[in-house]
Amino acid sequence: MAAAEPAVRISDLSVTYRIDGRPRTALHGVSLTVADGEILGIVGESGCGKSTLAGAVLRLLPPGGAVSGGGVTVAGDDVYALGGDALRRFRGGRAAMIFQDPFTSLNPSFTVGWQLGLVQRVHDPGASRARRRSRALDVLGEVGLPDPAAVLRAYPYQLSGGQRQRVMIAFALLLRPPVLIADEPTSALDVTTQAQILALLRRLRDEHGTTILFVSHDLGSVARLCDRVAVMYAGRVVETADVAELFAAPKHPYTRALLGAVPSWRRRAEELVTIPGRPPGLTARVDGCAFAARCPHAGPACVAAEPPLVRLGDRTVRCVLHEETA
Amino acid sequence: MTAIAVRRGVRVPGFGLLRRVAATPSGVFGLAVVVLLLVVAVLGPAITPHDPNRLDIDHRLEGPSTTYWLGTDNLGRDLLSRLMMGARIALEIAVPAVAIGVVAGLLLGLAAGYLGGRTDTVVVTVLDAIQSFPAVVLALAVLSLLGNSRTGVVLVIAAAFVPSFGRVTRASVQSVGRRPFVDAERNLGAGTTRIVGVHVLPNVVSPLIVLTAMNLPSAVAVESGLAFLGLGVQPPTPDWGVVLSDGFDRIRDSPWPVLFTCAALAITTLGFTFLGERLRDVLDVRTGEVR
Amino acid sequence: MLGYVARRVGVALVVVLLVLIFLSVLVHLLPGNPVTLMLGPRADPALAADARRQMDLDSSVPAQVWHFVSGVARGDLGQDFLTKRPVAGLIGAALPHTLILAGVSLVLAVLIAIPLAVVSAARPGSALDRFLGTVSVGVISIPSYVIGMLLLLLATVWLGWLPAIGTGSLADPGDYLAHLVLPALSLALIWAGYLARLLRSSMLEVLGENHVRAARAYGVPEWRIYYQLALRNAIPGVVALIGVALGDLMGSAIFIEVIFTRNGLGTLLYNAITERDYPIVRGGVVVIAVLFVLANLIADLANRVIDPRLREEVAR
Repeated sequence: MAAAEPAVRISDLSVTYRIDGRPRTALHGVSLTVADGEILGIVGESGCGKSTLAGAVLRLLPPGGAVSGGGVTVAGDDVYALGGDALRRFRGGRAAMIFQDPFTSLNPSFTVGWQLGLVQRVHDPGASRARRRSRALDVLGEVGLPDPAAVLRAYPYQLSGGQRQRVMIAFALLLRPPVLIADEPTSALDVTTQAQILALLRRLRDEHGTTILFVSHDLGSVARLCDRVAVMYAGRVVETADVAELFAAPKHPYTRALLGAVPSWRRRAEELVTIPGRPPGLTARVDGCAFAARCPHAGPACVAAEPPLVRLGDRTVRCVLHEETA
Repeated sequence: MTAIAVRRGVRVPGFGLLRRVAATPSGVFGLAVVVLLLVVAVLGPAITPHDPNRLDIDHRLEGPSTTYWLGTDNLGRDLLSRLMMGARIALEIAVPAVAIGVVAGLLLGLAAGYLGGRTDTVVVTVLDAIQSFPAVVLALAVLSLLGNSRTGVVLVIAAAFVPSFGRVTRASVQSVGRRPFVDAERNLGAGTTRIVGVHVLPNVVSPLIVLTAMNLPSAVAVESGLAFLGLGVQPPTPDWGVVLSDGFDRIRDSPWPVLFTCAALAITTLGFTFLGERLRDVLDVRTGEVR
Repeated sequence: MLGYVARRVGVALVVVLLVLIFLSVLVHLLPGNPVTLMLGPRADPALAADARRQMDLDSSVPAQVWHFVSGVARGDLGQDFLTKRPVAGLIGAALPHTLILAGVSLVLAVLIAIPLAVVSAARPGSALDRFLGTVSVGVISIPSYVIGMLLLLLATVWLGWLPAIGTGSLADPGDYLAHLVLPALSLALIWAGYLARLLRSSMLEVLGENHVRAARAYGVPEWRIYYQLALRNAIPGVVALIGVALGDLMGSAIFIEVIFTRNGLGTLLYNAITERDYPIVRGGVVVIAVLFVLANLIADLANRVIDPRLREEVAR
């Protein structure tokens, strides 16, 4: 076999939303690769395109959203070339999503057991009832729910937020997918539960070699969990680096601003981000660097043309000043 | 079971309203039907091609012809003239019925919403009790005693509509009453009359206009239905329900009277309903109406 | 939950009691002599005297109310003026036909409404959605007796189709069913249109929720998402309306039974109105009102059982 394909390869991906009939670009040529068994963090302020990117990997864009360039492959297979049935088997089977909000992401009208059973029936119509049930119990135990049988019988409203988030993760693990996409999986939870969920994700990687895309605006969680980090700003990747390197020596002014706004990793980023100004909206036309308007170091070169993503060893940065600021 | 809330502040309908209503095909249809109906009803006997009660024994139960455009009924009366007079009778009953319903509902709703407390509880209970009768059944109970009383029909239909108007008013009053500027004015010593007149009534106008347009066709339908059953308006008055009943007795001999009366009823109710829907969109009123 | 049931049943009983009191004093509320009101000004004096006795008009008004209410509680709705048969028996014989008609209509309405709602909700704003929306508003606003008449004309006069009129016999279910088709359809169309609109909007609401996106993310096929997940969430809204629907259908059934010359409560009432046989009318109204209150009560309680979200509220 030739060089193994990475678990996830996102190449030059652009996503456009059609709002009131006019196109608004949410992702501008994003390229990222995630190796087998790697945990990649994706960070940025809200509205930077993180969640769009997460959805795009599963070909799950909100209504009005469409890929306008580039593509995604998972283990070498083009996600956007999958037919109806293959796409359904892919979703959940080869890559699964852990959703942001445990309170609205479970169907309120059905028991947890029924909902888990539905996903199993859809993917493996031949499986016996008993086998489905024992698998569901296993997964609920694996995510650390103390009484799996009771959870199976429960309606979502009967569970606490932490329990629901564990159930959401159980959904993602149900079919043992090699790739997980976690879209802000801990932002709705208290600190203790957050830590437990992070430990669970790390154990999954360590024990099963699961590849994880961890989307978050919480730099503390990212620092504790991830191997590598991609920083996004206004629909673009502005910096990627090994997690330790990024936190030790951020290269992009935006990354530095983000980190500067978080004196302690243990606090939540959203409470403290105080970068002056706001990111350009989806409608704004940006000629040079998207961050130039808020950047303390911006010069004429920054507004002339969009800087390319420059490779520096095993990290990348999208900034004309990278050498001075290094 | 009606919940109406005004979304964007006070907006009293003005002169541009008609133009905006007529901006869609269904709006044009609704307006055209209602205007036509009003013209026919107002001009009435002056424009009917024949005397609606004149018998023409040689031409009974005929289909449409150049003399009798829609044909004749079992006694040789001109169907078109009878239906035109029927439009007048329908509105003569439906309009006062809805008007009484609006006024009574408005007063009860104002009292309940503005005074609150025990008054509110009593009013809401009474409205609930009225609604626990299907309108037709309430009408049956009363009219089977009153027989051919036209006033009785008007009052019964009005009573059946009071709850919907009452609820709308009460909801509007409550939503206005909670706004800070009303509190501020009250603290500055503004009287009840001023607050109701300046802040509450303008807010209630739009939902009530919409609800009126929606309830008029129901009033026509109930009134004609009762006349069809022999309650309320009696033969030979050319009420649509009476004409329908006459036609129904001879439906095997001639389908025309039933067909054209049904068409008149269907077009009328459709026209008012489409107008009401259009008004609701234009006036930006949210209804959660459940008949 | 138990407290809620008790409270809800209590309210229903009070409403029924109020209805009974209203009906027993109605003759006195209206202006004019009660017997003249009931039998008309040219009534036979013997019949008038008889009516006075039968309607208990010589007792005091509170006694009349008591006699009537306690009678109803025992299942005694009085006797009719003309043949002296017990009204309860007459209604008992007619009621099953009306209940079957209303029930079948409701089921038919739901069966028509579900696919219409799903088709509309799948492509909101499309030409098909707008067309179905207009048709729904159309059938909702047209009176059911007009729809019934038009169906009768269409079927019998022009197509010579189906046994359109009469009741058929319950002993011959096929025949009974054939007689039921047109009347049930006439009644069902209005509620089909209404339920289709209601289901469509609640489905659209559900389809925009996160758990639907989650279901897609786990590979659940679209047909299951529409028919199983979204519909299930939209159903409590429909169940809540079934009480209102049954009451409304019973009212409209009066016209439909007359049009299709079907046996039932409506025909019984129609004949009673024609013959000015007030006890029958009063008994029929009592039965319809009680059924209406009962249907609302059952729908409300059923909803608490069906909808986990409402159980949540009760639990809190």
